[in-house]
Amino acid sequence: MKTKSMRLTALEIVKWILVALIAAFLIHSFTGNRISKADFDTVWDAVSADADMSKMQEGSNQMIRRLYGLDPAQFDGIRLYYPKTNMGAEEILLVRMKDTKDQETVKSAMESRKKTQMNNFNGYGTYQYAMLEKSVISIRGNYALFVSADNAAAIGQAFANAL
Amino acid sequence: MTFSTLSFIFIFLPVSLLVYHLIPARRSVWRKAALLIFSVLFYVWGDAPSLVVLLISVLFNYVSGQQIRMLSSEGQEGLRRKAAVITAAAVDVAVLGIFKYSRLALPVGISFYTFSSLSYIFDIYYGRAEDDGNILNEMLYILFFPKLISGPIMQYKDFREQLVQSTAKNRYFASGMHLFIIGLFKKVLLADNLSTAFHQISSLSQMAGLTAWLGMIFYSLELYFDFSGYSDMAIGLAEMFGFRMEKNFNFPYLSDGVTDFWRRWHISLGAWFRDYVYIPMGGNRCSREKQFRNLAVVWILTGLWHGNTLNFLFWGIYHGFFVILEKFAIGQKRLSIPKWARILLTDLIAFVGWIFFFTPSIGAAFRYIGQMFGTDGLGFANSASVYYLTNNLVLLILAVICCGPLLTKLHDALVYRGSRNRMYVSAALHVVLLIFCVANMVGATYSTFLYFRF
Repeated sequence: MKTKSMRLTALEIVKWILVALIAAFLIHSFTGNRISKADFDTVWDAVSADADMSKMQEGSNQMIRRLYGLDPAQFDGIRLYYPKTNMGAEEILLVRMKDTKDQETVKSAMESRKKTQMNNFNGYGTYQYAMLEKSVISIRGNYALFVSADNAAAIGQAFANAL
Repeated sequence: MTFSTLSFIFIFLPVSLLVYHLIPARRSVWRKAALLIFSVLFYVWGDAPSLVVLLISVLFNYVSGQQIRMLSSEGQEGLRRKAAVITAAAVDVAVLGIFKYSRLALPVGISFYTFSSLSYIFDIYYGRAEDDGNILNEMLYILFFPKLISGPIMQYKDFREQLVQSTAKNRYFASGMHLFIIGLFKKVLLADNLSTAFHQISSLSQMAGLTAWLGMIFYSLELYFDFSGYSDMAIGLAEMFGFRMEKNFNFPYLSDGVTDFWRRWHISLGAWFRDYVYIPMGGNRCSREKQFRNLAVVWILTGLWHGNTLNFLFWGIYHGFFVILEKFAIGQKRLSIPKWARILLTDLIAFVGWIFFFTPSIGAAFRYIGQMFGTDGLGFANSASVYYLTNNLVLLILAVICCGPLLTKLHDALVYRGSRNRMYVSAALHVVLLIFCVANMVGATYSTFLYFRF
């Protein structure tokens, strides 16, 4: 009887520790996944300021659908610049989501695009392959960025600062 | 990771099946442990940051379940037992609600695994499932990768029965492969192409009536093939590992009433609400007023389960309205209408309901419904309508055919004709279908499943 009582007490303690852990995770999520109110064009200006746009061209909604499988109508803002030639690997996709529930979809689409491009250049486009390897996918609250460029890390930092 | 990716089909699935089946059946603990590890890997591949909250939730429910199991239902302990089940359910629902109704990134599969966790808690509380305190069984029940992310929401009592049975011989492997390939076909060849057709239309700012009708039909078919395809793949995968799951869809667009539709669409969710909400509230065995209340609660909850916008709430109430209308006002009178007309009417109700799924607000949904009746001033049909119809006509016909059992019947007639089973014909057909799917997947861009957002 005493053993049962002790086990029940232990379970009660463990249960509330787990509840505290869930609460801590939620607090951490709230503080680390903030929604940015930054204007889409302002963020885009910050991102494109550091990029060499001469190697890229603006992508239409149809191109966004074709390359990423994303529906532009589902987002508050989305802009794609993709390589002017087949031999280019420079690319930027900036997305402002209506709902952070779309983070996973956007992230998966970006990863898939990156993988496709890496497969395309694997074996013959050493320079492009290396550029894609160090490309940046950054998901921060309601904003997401994919950038493939020589200075991808710097552009990624400019993106973070703009939010 | 999703089922319809090359990495899943050619790496994850063969490796997990091989490891699982190489472990002798008598070593059931090792088999379960292997399956658990693969399930965690599957989740990490898709949404690593959310693994922490998933594992804490699994442990929390296990501890709560053990508390409930150890406490007797008599006297003071009975009160503590009731408090334990209420606490567990409240924490589960609160976590789901916070993620769903805040703007936090929603952990993949949280709506589905929370309902599994609640099933675990309630089945122990109501004594529906014998529980021996085996944490491996509980973890595998919630984390089992075929059903983890998007269901079917299998109930603990049904899953546990299979966990304790010896799975010395897997009799379901072939039917599992069949279901998986059929599900892949539905997703890759039908849903993804219907999605392209729908998105062509949804990006238009103005459209003629026929174009809007086509958009609604493409989306309704896409949603069905996407979700039922996923469910078929999930059930097929479970069977390949020796577990049986009930089907989640049963030709819903052939339903002859809204009540019938919900017996055929997302069956496991309907069963969950029936067993854990509707029946405990009194179900049908109470006054008409209470039955009405019970149905209203179930349909509001069904709407809220799907999403955090007013659209989903409205959609739940919309379906609830028709279910209540059929039950209390129309009843058997509807049988006086020819069956084909009942089916068409039910599809119309269901399809109009899906408009609230793909539009961002209730206002936008009603604007879309207005466009179906020509409010854009472009008439009933124009050259764009004809283009979208003719361009997707073959796909549309194939999709409509696949909404019914015709292809299954043709397959069976071909394979089981005469006295001999011609299984090699069936195998060849499946291989061809798989090749078509893979060929389509190689060239396609990433496409997620629609129900992942829930």
